[in-house]
Amino acid sequence: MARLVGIQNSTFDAEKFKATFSENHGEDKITTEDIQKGWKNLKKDISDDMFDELKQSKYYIQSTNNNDKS
Amino acid sequence: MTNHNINWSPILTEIAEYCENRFQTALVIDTDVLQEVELMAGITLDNFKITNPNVAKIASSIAFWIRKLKPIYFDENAQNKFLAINELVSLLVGLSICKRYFDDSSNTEFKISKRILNDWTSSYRINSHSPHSSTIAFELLASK
Repeated sequence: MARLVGIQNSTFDAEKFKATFSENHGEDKITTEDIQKGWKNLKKDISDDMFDELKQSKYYIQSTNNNDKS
Repeated sequence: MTNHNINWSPILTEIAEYCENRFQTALVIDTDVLQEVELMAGITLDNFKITNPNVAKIASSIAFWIRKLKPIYFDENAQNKFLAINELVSLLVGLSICKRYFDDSSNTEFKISKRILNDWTSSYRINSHSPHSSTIAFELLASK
């Protein structure tokens, strides 16, 4: 017969445990304008060499016509 | 339902235009797919069952769905392409959300390195990422 095991007088509280999954961790309400402001700030951090590195990656492909122009 | 009511279209358009210039390419954004992205990101946020999800959860939810549904395409006349454009834009959108807490006077402002941006973009392209796993990454960046 299957035997149930566990510690005696456990402090585990199923209701309290369940409540933690819906705890409200949010801060101020975020708006479209907030994110646009965030993008404005982020752009200041994005350097030319950051995109240069991305352009050197395997994901950047160019038309050979471009090379002819240069 | 979450309290957030964000219009993603102007945000995505602005960031895509920036990438378009940087890569000297021509991009188009499918507005129908973008609506699907908005809808699915909302459903993902609702699944957290939190009235005011923090910025990391919002960032990871929208980034996940941009990356998965890929609303950005290359114009047929585009001379150059960055194949991971949706992955890159999704991360830039997510980082902008986290960045909204910081301004020029902040002493705790995070800065992302070129190596991290490159590696994260590549990983978003080829590996599995759930909204929940991305939440941890954005949480680390957004925590003050």
